[in-house]
Amino acid sequence: MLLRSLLFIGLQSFAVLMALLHEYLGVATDEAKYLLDIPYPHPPLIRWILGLSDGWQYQELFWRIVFSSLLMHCIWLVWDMGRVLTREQRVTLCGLWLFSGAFLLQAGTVMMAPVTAVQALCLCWMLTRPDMLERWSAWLGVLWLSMLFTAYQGILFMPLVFVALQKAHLPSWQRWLAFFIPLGLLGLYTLTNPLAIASMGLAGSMGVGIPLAESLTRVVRIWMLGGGLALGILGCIGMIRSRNTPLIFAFVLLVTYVFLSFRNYYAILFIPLLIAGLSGIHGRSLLRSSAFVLALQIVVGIWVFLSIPFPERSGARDVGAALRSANVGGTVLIAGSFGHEWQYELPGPVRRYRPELLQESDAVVCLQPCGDLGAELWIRLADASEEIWLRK
Amino acid sequence: MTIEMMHPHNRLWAVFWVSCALIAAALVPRAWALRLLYTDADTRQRTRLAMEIVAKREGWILSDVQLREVRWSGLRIIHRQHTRGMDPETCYNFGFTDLVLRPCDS
Repeated sequence: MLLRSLLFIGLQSFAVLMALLHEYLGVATDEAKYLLDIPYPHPPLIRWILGLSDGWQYQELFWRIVFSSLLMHCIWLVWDMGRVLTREQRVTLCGLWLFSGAFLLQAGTVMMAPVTAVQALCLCWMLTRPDMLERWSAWLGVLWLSMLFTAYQGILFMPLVFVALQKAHLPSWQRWLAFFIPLGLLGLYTLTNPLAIASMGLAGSMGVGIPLAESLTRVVRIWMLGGGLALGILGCIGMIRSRNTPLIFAFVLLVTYVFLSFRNYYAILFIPLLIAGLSGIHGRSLLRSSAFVLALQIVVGIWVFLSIPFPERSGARDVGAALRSANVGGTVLIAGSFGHEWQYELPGPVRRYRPELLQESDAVVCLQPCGDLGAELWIRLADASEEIWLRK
Repeated sequence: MTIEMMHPHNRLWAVFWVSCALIAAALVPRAWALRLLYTDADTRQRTRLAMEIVAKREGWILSDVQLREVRWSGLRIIHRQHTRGMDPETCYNFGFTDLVLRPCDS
């Protein structure tokens, strides 16, 4: 009991530390999109929940801690999934979850991919518990619906959901409806949000025109980022040796998805599948040298964490602070290219700069030259990190 | 209500089906209001063009504009400025020919 309590405190401290690191780095454009409930590209469930708290000063830190804690405490599920392994191998399995490069890079971010990874791990865990699956199959339906309405990538795990529903011993009509109705609802939601369709088209065409070899290299890189060297390889071997068809099918879907839209943050989606591949009976032989495997995972994970640069901090937070200290609360015009983090950090509504809109605004931020604003009406804020003009 | 229905497991299935029904009830009218976008290529093209022109003219960020209704003659949109706290939100109608914004309640 004492050991569990200490472990819990340790994990929670790690979660808070990761959240604080990302808080220091500032809000990324995608994170701001979710925190403000901006309606694209993903379905609304989680971003709507996040958006309810966007007036709260500590919203960002709070959700970073929540997301990071969810990822950390998944090791309790990982521990349970490794029931057929020895104690040492189960510890290794938990270590493989905690020290994969993607985990270290993404714990503490407010993104949808880590949430989907947690949901996918829950799904993989449910599949290892047929007794519970039979008794509490409704949770499977709820999880499937929530996965799809969290992010589109939830659809990649449909082979696992399909098999889990088969194992739940439900009447056949209920199995089929529970599987297809959420998919239909997602399709219907997509029709109501043309912006989501447009952004999916953009994301899906990322790989167009890129040589095959380069695309494959990127896929391998993201897979390695997800699993690290040890989990990436052993997880796949375990998956194949166990002939776990739904797991392999979900893995192939994920690889195809990453091939079409290679973003580093999809790496975390590999981890639950790889853990599931390694947690079965074949994990016993694959994790024979478990201490070496864990050591390798930790070294590679930390190396990835240190070698992949975090995105550069945007000037939005400093500009927001400068505008607040100047008591600006009205519309701010921004000249030049900017991300959603500017909407998050600035004290008032943001619009794109156009000279005709000057009358309706209180401040102008010039990320590119604004031209002459008129010295009789506008005064430049001194000592600001960006060029900021305030209405006199 | 039968004893079987009162079992927590069945109640959770009921929550699932009711959630699905509520989501469908919320989405069907919205999808129906946008049907021209998917059934008429010309309207789709005019909508895209009109949204881009209006957003550029008003300095709006495109993701702040939600399409609510597509008609043969024009569009109904909601401009929601995403900020911390309450988001200022205004509903507008405009025609494809003049692109003049008219508040929905006028």
